Amino acid sequence: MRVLIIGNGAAGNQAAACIRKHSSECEIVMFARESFPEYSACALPDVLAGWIPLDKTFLKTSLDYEQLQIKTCFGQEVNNVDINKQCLEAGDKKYYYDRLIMATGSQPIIPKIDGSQLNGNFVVKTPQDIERIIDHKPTRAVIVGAGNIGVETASALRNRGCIVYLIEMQDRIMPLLYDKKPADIIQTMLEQEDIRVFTGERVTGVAGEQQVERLLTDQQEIECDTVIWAAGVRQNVELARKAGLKIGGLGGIEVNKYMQCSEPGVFACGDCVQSPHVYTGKPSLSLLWSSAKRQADVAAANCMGKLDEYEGNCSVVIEEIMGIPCVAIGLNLHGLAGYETEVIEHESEDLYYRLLAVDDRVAGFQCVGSLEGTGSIFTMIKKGTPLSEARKLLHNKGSISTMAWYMDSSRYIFGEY
Amino acid sequence: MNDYPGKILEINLSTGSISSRAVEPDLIKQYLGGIGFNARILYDEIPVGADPLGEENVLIFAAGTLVGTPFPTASRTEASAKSPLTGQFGTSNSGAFFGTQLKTAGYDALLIKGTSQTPVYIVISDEEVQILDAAFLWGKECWETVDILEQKHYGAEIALVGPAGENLVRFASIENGRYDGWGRTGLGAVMGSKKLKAIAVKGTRGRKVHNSAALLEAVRKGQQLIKSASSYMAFTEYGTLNASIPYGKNKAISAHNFTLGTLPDWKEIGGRQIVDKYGSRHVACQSCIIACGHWAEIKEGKYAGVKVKDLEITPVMSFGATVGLNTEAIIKASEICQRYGVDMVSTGGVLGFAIELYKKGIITTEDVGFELDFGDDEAAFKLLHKIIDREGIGDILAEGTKRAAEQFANADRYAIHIKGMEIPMIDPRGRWSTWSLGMLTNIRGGDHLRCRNPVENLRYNDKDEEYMKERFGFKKPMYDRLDMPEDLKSKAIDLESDTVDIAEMSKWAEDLINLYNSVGICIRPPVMEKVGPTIIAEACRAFTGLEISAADLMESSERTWNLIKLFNLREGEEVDASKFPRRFYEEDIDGNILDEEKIQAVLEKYYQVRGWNGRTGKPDANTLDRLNLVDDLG
Amino acid sequence: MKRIVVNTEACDGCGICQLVCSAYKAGQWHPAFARIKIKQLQEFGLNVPVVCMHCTYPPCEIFCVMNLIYKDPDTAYTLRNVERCIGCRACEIACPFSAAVWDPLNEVVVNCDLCGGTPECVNHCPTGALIFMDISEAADKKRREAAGLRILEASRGFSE
Repeated sequence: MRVLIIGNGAAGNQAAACIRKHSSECEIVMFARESFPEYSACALPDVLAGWIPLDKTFLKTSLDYEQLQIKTCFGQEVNNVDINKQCLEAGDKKYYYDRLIMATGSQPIIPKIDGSQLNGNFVVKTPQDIERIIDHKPTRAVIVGAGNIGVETASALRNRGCIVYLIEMQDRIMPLLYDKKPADIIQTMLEQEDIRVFTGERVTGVAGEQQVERLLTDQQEIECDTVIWAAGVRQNVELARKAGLKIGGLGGIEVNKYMQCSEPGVFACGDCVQSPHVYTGKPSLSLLWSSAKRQADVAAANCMGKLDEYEGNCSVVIEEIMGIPCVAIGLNLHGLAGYETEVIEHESEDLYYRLLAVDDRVAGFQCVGSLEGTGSIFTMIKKGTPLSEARKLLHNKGSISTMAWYMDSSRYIFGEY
Repeated sequence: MNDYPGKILEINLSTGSISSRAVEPDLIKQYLGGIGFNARILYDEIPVGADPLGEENVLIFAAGTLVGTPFPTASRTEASAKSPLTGQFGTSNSGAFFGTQLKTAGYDALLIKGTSQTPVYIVISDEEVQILDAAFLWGKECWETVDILEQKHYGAEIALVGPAGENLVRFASIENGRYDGWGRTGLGAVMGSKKLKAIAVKGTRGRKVHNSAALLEAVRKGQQLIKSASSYMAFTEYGTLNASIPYGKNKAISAHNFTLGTLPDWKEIGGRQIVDKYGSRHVACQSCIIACGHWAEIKEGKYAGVKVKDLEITPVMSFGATVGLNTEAIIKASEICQRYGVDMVSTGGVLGFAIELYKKGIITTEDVGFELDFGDDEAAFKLLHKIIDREGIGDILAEGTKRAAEQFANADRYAIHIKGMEIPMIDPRGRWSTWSLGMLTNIRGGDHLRCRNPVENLRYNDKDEEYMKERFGFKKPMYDRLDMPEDLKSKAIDLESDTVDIAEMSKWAEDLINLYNSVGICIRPPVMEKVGPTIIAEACRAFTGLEISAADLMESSERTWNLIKLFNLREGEEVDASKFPRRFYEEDIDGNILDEEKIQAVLEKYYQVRGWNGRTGKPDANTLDRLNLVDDLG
Repeated sequence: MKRIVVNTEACDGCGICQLVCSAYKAGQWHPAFARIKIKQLQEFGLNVPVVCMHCTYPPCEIFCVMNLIYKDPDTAYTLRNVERCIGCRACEIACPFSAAVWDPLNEVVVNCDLCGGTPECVNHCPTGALIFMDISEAADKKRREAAGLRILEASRGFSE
């Protein structure tokens, strides 16, 4: 059996490793546009901040691929996939496959506005991006888009000593993860770090001769030498579209719960797919490392003929700001729009949390100040444990003696301290 | 490299100043830690004649040297101040997890000076120390306060006072979390007088040890020693309650304010089998392998739902014997004591005293507001709440038996105390032993916890004519294994007549217990029987890297004891204060009575063993010179 | 497949396992540096040791952004190349048992590695609450326990 994998990111590599676990004979060939080995995108802000060296972000060496008996065709763009003939074209060669895994990932968007091509515009996606930013020696930087990448990048650049601005179009930072109240708390924490945060502002252009000199918004002009775009990503689906695979409404490749695409023999996983949300069951995009790896596991298992199902997307994002952990699990009120949502909320000096529940089920959780008990909350969200049952469980000595870890989450479940 | 010693944290509530300093090398060498630090520091810091409830008094918490290691039972923290109850050195020891947090926050001792104007509480999180407003906690009972503070300061261990401490009840305790406490000598009133509601400590630092492998080896040996103790199995199962029935049989319990010697149904009320009925699980303090505590729960009846970590001999004797309550009422009583922050022993003593006054007609229903009787739990609790709130007659009783007896005519005969502190549980008329003499020689007054024969045998109870000996039932191998210098051993123990010399053994036992209180281990009998200075020295060497021998440890402990004695003398301890209450010499129980002169002779022998003046009990210059204390002799 | 099996009945919360673990694994003594945690549930009168379960499909492995968590092919222990950890703490949330432990000294997350097959916490546990045994045997033992044999007493040297 021969499996071809397009993409050398978290999903692609996890799929390869998982296939190898299932079978030592199966032939695996990986294709990637880039020529460097697998790296961890999540570690890039840490490199930017200077906490870890760049080479630490690389998770594999070429030797590792050899050891796993993975053939690599890196630095080669895949031009075409012929699903009927079960073959793809890369360079001027044709490769036939029994199974194909699309893990083409995503790329950050730089909008086509004035000045966005000037020297000094960056994204944070690959180690090269980070190298380029560091070589640019930024002193005044504007980060456009306050998602988790934006916030982490802002924090990192602040740690490098830059003057940092963070611009967000919505009324709050990390709008897809947090609700207004916790977002405001985190914003205050960022501002204490001396990051200048502006929400509700739309970027209209970048000004400068050859260099970035100013960033223009609908409300102000910010003097800067660096603009980092973290305002969203686009799924890399051109190849899939060309091959005739169905593309979903959110712009990702459509897959079923076995991570199978619309055509037989083709699987997809990672950033490039859209899959049902664990809670709502509606199609959603998950641009997270963990989802990619889990999807890759499922795709790999199914393409080796072993049944495995994907539970659905559930976002878990953790940030550490000034050493204080901030967690968002599942959906926020925005994601739960249209549902009648119960909010269990608490605020004290060093802890803020809110638990969102719909119909007796935990749907989302946001917490600033502690990681205690978040593991069991996450498990509840994944498993759909009814809140009432969890409460009963937490009052029962017998069950608690065998599942004591649930106790950690009791304060959230009961809305205590 | 190691993290011994930590720092001394000093907080002045009058000025709000917070500072920390290194422990002077001399202090470490001479006083080790725990009660040793407390004695030295308080001797230097508290001016003579200071008002215990005034600004000049200093409250100090010091965790023992070995606290924070897995050395068996190393969990204990000593709290000390000038006692509002006795006017002398007030000190008390508690286990659980407070000491570990204090140590891992980087501190060996916590010194609290001055008095705040408004209620405050202290939060210690490593170097970050804050004095915060406690108006919202003032007046709240302990468990509620712990709940609130645990929520606010996650993971912190909390020492606090209840309403009794706030109301300056002279036998108020400092509670250590929900269920433990620094009970005796009224330290809660000191904390209350400083308007300090609570101390929350959280430590996040590890303790580096000089020689980790050697310490683990000492830990292993220590565990083996304790497990090999003859009382180990009994203690893991029943804890301190093992002593309850033997003392009842000997007519040596404090029944009905020391009038009966025993109770007809004592076995049912206070026997160790109540553990089987009410207890569920064993509870240990930090690093303990005995786990003498039990979760107790009353499932039905009028006290249904009461849950405490308890079933120990102290409440059983104080409330079961002294006040005559039944088992369920005893458990309820200890819950009240823990919630409102009063010392169980003194509370029992005061209640017993009040009930006897009532029965003798010295106080009447008019004074009290209701009838009192031994065994009437509802009346006792009503009176207890009056004491806690200092309401009506409770205001007088809150002063402790000694002071309260002065308020009533002919009442002092019924006030069972030594040097102002209520005597706990055991009646020396029923059983004369090293333990009984220890009450007289105790540096904190009428108390049983600072002198206990490490090789006591409760099966025997035949005192000799001269009160000098206690029978043991020794066997040669046991004698050989006893960790005690040979010369002392041969003086204190006579194998031939199978007896222990009470005076000689008292000094050894006191120094040994004082050593435990310095290094922070527990005085449960399995520990006392087996863990001697040798193994402690081994653990201390591994932990601190200092060259400490067993003899050094015992000397340091003796130094501490002498220094505390000097403190007490400086505060005006009288020559003839070391006496039992008159009742013990004048009223017999089934023919058991104490002979004052003979006891005086034992006492004088003890003074000689200590190197003190045989008549006055003041340390001789030679002794002080030997202990480097000569400068402290005012 | 030997694992640490916990007998909740027997645990009295002395915390020796934590201190010993911290000494062996962190070189310092502090309960918080231990890979094993005792949950003190005072309202139930329970002390429950919580330690890595070495799941067959560990969620922490999926969540690790540095791919440094792996199953040992021989022993099936869940292990970490901890030197590569960047301390993002994602695995802490992933673990349903709160058994992934933040190590504040090195700012990484760690889990129990069973001391390579001779867990020291088990060796030092005074009550027999921690037992290192084959998990199939453990299931057996649980069955026997249900039949009335209390491990607590057996392990403390009491005869039934």
